[in-house]
Amino acid sequence: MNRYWKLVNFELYRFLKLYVSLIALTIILQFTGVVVKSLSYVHQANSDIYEHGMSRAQFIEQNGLANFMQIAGSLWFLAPIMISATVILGYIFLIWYRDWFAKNRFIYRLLMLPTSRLTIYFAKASAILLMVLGLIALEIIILPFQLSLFQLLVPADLRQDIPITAVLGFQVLAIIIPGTWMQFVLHYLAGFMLVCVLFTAILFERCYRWKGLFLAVLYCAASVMVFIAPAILAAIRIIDFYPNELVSLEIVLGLVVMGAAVWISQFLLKNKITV
Amino acid sequence: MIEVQNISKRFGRKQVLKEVSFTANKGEITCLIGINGVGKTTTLKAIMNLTPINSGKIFIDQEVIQKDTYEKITFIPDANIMPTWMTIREACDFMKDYYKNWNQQRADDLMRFFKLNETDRITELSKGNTAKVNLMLGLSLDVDYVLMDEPFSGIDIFSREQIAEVVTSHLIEDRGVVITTHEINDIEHLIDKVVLLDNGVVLKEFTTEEVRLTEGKSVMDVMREVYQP
Amino acid sequence: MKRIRTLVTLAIIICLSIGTFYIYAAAEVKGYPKFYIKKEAGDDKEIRTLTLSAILSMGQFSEPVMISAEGSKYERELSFTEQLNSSFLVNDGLQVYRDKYHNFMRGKLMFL
Repeated sequence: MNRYWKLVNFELYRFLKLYVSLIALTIILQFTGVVVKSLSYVHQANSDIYEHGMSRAQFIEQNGLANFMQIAGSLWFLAPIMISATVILGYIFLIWYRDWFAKNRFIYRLLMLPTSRLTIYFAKASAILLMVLGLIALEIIILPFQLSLFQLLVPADLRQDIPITAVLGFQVLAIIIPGTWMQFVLHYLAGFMLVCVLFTAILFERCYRWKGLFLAVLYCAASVMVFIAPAILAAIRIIDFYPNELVSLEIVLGLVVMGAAVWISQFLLKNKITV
Repeated sequence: MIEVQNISKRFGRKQVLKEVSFTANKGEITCLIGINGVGKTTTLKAIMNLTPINSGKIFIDQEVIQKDTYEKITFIPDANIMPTWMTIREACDFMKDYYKNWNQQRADDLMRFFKLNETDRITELSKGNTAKVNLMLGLSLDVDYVLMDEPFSGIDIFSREQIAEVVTSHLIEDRGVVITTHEINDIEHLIDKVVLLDNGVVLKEFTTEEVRLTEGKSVMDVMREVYQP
Repeated sequence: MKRIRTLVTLAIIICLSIGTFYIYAAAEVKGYPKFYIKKEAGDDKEIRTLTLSAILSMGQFSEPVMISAEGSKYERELSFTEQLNSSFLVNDGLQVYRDKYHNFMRGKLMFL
């Protein structure tokens, strides 16, 4: 079996405990959110209608129908997503630094594996991507159950049923689970590019220490500049693009940035890395 | 043969290695001797391409190191380099997964010899046992060259004897071994070649047999001459 | 397989869940409300070139939709390249002119 796959598996396995906690946190908080938000709406409806003698129509006119977006837009729902995003962003750094600074110096072993050092780089990057996609998959799996729970708790005449694609079509959800397949691929390609750029920045720091930190900042700034140059040019009206031109250009530039990241990393890992 | 040719290395302003050259042959035990901080470990790391050098060249069997070379040469550092959550068994499985030349039979033999318990977690090991695990993991690879960094430092006398016994035994018979140390009492009778380092410079490179036969001196005698003129 | 168990499990879950979702999402858009122009009186020909740019809004969600004599079409139903090429919200006839005149309305689109 290929060493690359084994390394990806190994990196995932090392993150497993934290990963399972993130999954548990997401499930607990989001389902709690569904219950709390639904019940508080129903509770208010009950108290207004049965205790204060409001009619159903009056109540709906005042408060609006309950819909799942109110839950999906609440902190109950978004906090676990933000926490997961933060943890994974942090782990992009930790996945390298733990090999240098944990109680063991596993980086010795990794760099002495009889495999191209770029394999280690790609294994770590792939592991990060898979961790993110796994959490997205989790969200997609639990969403129908959350919708059912919501429908169970709120009576049909007090709620507005919204299709799942619409629930996912707003706020941060539209970025992490975009509406069409192609957008999904592009979003996560861009995400992978970001991971590669950060990895390369980390390697700069690891190779040149303090000087490297400075180089890393310069390098990141350069990568960002290259990537957003067309958007800036368009914004200050130097060049006008049709949307399709802009997207094609961004895809090309994204690949250029990613290619540069990999090429630089390959150079650093081969010639400059120090344990 | 490991050939180190004129390697120099700076850390910031500090010159750690200055034009260091020596060779280490297969089937011989070469000892890099010097007090702490003279660049012994750096030299070994440089051979393994774990740290860049500013100038000079290193060849292993006439080739510059690349990925397949790691099936041919191994480095046994003086600290643990396996994830601490692993058990000794899992560490072996890891090695087996990634190295074609892993020799499970030898790993089992060494574990028995060192009285290591394969279900122990690496994090719970004493310093002596950590060194033994390191040695076991490194020596269970069927490699031509073994680099050992301070295999005896901070280890109790009984463990030292065990380790010295392994070093002499058939386990490393026809391999090339490079050992760094600052005390040679335990292994003086084993070594074939000595490279004396000080302040990043090779002061003297000699074979033990040569000095014994021609000058009638022991390694300790030569060291005294060189370090305390 | 045993040695890459975590990876295989995760990959299968990801493919099944995300794959199913996008197949379902494509199907669900077909179930969005349909709009058509109902003839009360007059000449059919008059509305043949008419397109209404509209936005379907549900809760905080909104989705552009074009309504013409042929019925309604949501932006999501277009292929990816169609989505990029059409400026759905502005004018569907734009493409005709762009094909004819190379730089027609370049830089004049509302979101650029």
